[in-house]
Amino acid sequence: MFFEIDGITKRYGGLVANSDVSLHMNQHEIVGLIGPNGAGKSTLFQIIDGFVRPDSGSIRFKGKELTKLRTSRINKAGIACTFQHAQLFPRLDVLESVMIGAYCRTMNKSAARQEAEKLIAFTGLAGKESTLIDKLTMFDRKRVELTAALATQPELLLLDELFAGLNSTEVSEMVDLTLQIHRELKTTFLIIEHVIKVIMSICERVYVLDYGKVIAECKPNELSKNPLVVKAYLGEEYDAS
Amino acid sequence: MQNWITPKNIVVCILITPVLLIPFFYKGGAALLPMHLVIMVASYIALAQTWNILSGLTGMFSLGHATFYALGGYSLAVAMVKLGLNPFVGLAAGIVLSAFFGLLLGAISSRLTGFFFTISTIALAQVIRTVAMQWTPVTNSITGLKIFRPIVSRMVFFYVAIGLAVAVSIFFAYLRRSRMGSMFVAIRENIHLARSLGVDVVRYKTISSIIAAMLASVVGSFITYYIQVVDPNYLSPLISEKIIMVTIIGGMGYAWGPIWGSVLILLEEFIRGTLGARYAPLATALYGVILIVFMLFRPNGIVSINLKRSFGMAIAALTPAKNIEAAARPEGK
Ligand SMILES: Nc1ncnc2c1ncn2[C@@H]1O[C@H](COP(=O)(O)OP(=O)(O)OP(=O)(O)O)[C@@H](O)[C@H]1O
Ligand SMILES: [Mg+2]
Repeated sequence: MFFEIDGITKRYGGLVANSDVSLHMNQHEIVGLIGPNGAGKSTLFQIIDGFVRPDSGSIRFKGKELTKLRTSRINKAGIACTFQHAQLFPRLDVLESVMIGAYCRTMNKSAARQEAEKLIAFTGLAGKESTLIDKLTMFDRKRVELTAALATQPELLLLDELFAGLNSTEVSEMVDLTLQIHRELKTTFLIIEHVIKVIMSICERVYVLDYGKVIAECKPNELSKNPLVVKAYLGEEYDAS
Repeated sequence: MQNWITPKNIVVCILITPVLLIPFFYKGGAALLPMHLVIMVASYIALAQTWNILSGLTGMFSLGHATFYALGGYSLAVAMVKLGLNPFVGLAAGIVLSAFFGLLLGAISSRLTGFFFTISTIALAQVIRTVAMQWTPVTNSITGLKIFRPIVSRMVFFYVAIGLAVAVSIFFAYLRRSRMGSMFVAIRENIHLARSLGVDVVRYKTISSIIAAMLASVVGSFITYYIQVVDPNYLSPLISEKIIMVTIIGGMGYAWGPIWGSVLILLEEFIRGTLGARYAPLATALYGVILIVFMLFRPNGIVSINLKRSFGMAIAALTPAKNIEAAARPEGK
């Protein structure tokens, strides 16, 4: 199995953010992770990334146990992520931000620079290499975050609401970019997303999380037929009607 | 980010050249004071530059950087006075000792970040200060150690000091452009993102701390050899604070920052010269005021002042009103 999460549980005091979460992914899949606000999606990402330690459960990536590793090691193992609230280097320029990602794979400056320039062109940021992050639009910031993550040459890329806060043209550009990365760089994706249209257009499979539990796993077009999912999103009233 | 030979750098180098010729402008003893001032300023540049590596590049804000400066000073003095060794042995011992304490500080920083790290740097300085005060057989307590050395022409100190400042500054600029420099600023800018991009944060924080400590120790040894005395005043918070003020005023995280900022050290000498030694502490108050003004209006320091634009505004202010707006606009907008 390419990527496997097995029985992850995480409690914050009395609150169970993740409760016995299990999921698995094949190489080169695009899998969605959806669920209402506070369902525990970002918490699961933080656990995968090693920012948060789970109370129990295990994560295996290409047969390697990740749960005890540091974040930087998890990145070296081949997993990168973008964050729900775009994380950037505010006072650095675009080129150096991406180079920092590239340095994960090379000690050589000119190699890192070359790799960064190539990816900057790939994600449509060419010409903005020396612009400071502070001066970029939201859309460009999200693309820089994505490009820096790509520069670490991940096999599995986790996107936490990358499409949130973008207008509809930008969303479709980002969708195209994601599909292009998937096609050309052979990256596997796990995507948290609220915009159901995005899920529909790129995901092959979806996991639904509610109150920390996986309540469904299905194809995107089967979501509306699943009573548990409908109930999670629309609440009890729907059930009564 | 890449080019070294910029018009600005060339102009600055031309402006600095006359300073190098100071020993030849004056006849006899008249050169001694100006040379002394240049030595002090150059030493501050070098010392502030080492703090700039730790705090400006890596974002580990230290309030106790004088620790390493003092370790360098004491190592040199103890080696020469107490053990009768060659000064270079003292210099090397200081570097090794400082590397050890730099490592310790790096280890601390993996557990304590931000405010808590800063507090621990003050604590470390206090511990070393207590040792300097109490370990009398070695340090001579409050009296300190007086060094006897062969007479060396002040011109030698003059050029060594400038060489030290230039070398440390070039090293800083080189470091900033290197892979390691990018790792350092990544940690400073966003530690979470740095981690998630594969930066081994603990490792690079420790390296930064060790480099800064070793270089600061060299400056401390040099100063001690020059002024021929080391005492617990080396560990006074005033020294740590002065380094911080000049770097912040000049521009934290930039190679030119400590260089511009350290020129302010002359203010103290100027006041001493004009108003008398009694008023010298006034300089510290003035640094404070200047610091606050910069924090308010130019938080990135002297390096962030755009000369072209400032001149543009000054010229516009003297010409008819309709041009003002055009001149005040940043270039290319
Ligand atoms: N560090 C923390 N300490 C305490 N509680 C936390 C912490 N992080 C998350 N939680 C709680 O865990 C639950 C799950 O949060 P999480 O951010 O994973 O939800 P999410 O599914 O990503 O929601 P959203 O769609 O709003 O981003 C929430 O109730 C949240 O308040
Ligand atoms: Mg979330």
